[in-house]
This record gives sequence, C-alpha cells and structure tokens, in this order.
Amino acid sequence: MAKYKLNELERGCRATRTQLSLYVDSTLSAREVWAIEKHLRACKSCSDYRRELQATVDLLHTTPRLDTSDDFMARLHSRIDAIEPALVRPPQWRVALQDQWMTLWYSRPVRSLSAVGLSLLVLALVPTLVRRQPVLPSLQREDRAVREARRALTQPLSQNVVSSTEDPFGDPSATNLEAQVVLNDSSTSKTSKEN
Amino acid sequence: MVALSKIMYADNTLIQRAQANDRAAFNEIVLRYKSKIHNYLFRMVRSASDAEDLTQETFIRAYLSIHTFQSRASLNTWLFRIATNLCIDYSRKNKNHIATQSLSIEDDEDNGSQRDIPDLAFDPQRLLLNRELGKRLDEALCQLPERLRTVVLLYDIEGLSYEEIALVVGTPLGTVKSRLFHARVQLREILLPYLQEKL
Repeated sequence: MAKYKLNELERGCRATRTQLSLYVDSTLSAREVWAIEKHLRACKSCSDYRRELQATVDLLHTTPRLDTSDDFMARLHSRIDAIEPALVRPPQWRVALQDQWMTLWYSRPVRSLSAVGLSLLVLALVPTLVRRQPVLPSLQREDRAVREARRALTQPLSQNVVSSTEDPFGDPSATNLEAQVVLNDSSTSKTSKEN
Repeated sequence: MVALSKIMYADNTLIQRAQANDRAAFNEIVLRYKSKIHNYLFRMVRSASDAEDLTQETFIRAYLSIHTFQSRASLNTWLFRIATNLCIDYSRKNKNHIATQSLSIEDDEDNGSQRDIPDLAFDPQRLLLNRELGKRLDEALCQLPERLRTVVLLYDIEGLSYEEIALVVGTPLGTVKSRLFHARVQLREILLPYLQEKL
C-alpha cells in the first residue's frame, strides 16, 4: 500500500514538474492550476522545486541589459551609404512635409475635426445619391424599343397626312367622298326640275 | 516642427515610410529595436564587439529587404528572426572560437557599453549578491545549448510570446514550450547553490 502511494506521488510529482514552467508563466487553465496547487500543498519537494524555478525566472527577468556603443548609428549610416550610394531617396522637403502632415494628423483635435467633417459630408451626400437613382442598361434598352415602336406607328399616319395635304385628290377616300357629293347634287337638281 | 523621434508612430506606419525609401523612418525603427537586438545577440555570441557587428548586419539586412516585408509578422518578430539566422551562421563559422570564450560583464564594462542594472537599492550586501548572481546567471546561460538559450533569452529576457518565438525559431509552439521548460530546469540546476543562499 505504501509502495503504491509512493508511486502515485512520484507520478504526481513528474506530471506537476513538467507543467511548472507553464504554471510560472500563468499560461495554464484554471483546472490545471487547481490540480498543480493541490499537489504543491501536499508535496514539499515539488513546492521547493517551484520556488527555485520561480527564483530562476525572476533572476532572468532582472538581468542587466547591454546597449550599443555611442557611434552605432553613425557606423550604420556609413555602411548603408556604402552599400547603396545610388538609392533613390525622397527630397528633404518632402520628408519634412510628411513629418508635418503626420504630426498634424496624429494630433487629436485635427482627427476629431476631420471625423466630424467627414460625417457631415456623408449626411449631405446621402439624400442626393438616394434621389438620383441610376438608370439600368436593361431599362435604357426597353425605353429605346418603346420609342422605336411608337415612331413606327406614327410615321405612316404623318406620311398619310402629308400626302393628303399635298394631293388631296390622290386619296381614294377623298375621291369617293367627292363622287358621293356630286351624286347627291345631281339627284337634288333632277328633283327640283320635275317639280 | 515636432521631432520625428518624439512621436510614437505605429510600427506599420514606419514600415510603410521606410518602404518608400524614407531614411528617417528607418532610423526610428533602428532606434526602437537596436537595444533589444543587441542585448539578445550579446548573450548569444558572448562577445560585445561581435554582437555589435551582428546588430549592424541585422539592420542592414532589414534595410535591404524592408521592401519585401509584409505585415503578416510583427516587425519585432521579423528583426529577431534575422538576428537569430545571423547567430546560426556566426556559430557555424566560429564553432571552436565560441567554445573557448567566456562571458563576463565586468570584462566588457571598459568598452563604453551602457548597462542598466536593476534593483539598485543602496544595500551593499544585496547589490553584491545580485551582481554575483547575475554573473552566475551569465555563466549558466553560456552552458545552455544554443537552441535552449535562444528560447529562454527571447521569452524571459526579451519578452516575446510563445507564438512569436515559434515564428522566430521556425518550430511548433509545443517545441518552444518544451525547450523553455528544459532551459529553465537546466538553469535551476546550475544556479541551485546560489539560489538556495538567496531563498
């Protein structure tokens, strides 16, 4: 029984220690943290191990930093100039203008004003755009077809009117009408003579 | 006119300007990252002068290929990737030389290098202990294999995330976590006598 318990504890220690690095970084899930802390409360050896690992990580975090030498930038510039002497660079005035513009753009009042101005512009343009609905090409085609059909219908009528005004006697219906009038007139004069 | 260096432009803005051959923007990038890259390279190659040369080489390579940089990765990750590749080349060339070198911060203090030692509370005993521990830590880092040292430096000293380190080193996320674990365990074993004094 004691042997079984020792093995179980050993297994628990192994599982805990492999996760202690992640535990120190606080990247484990709540359940995993709970399991590790439960084991740490029961196992002094693992608890000491965790403390030592934490001290190692803390030491790494406070390690002194080394900076470059003072002439680092100058040396870098001269090396870049030597590598690419014919590099196309924007003129100084353009760089200065870009700096000015970015400075202005990144300042809060200008950005707020620009946002307000843009909103007003959108509000002014939306009704205009909504009213002016674009004509679809299919509708344009249909409109053209209707116009041509109407022209085809009205053209013979106008041609007929023109021909009848130019030569009213050329119209057969007019000739018939004239013949009818002549016939009526002749019958009326015959009747008056008999009376 | 407000000086360019005083304005915190986003990295993306600086990259866009540097891609348009704007040297001022590239300078800003260098000023922003040179310390981090140099510190990392110094702990990798263990020589202040070689670290500075490699830092210069990192930024020259960045300058020459900034036009091909795409914003899929962060600028930080990209620069550390260039630096790590340079480190690999360097250690291949100087394999025997590195093995005989030892890292000592005090040896390099006369070279005009600036150091920022944390925890400068006026407690001579504590300061001495911290200095001693710092020295031991440097020695312990030197004893780590390069692949473990890269990960522990990037995570615990330079503050990159697991995901960023995976991109820098070009390994899966699980490998990064595993290497970090092994690196810390080895460091703990080396530093155990000093840690027990401190704890």
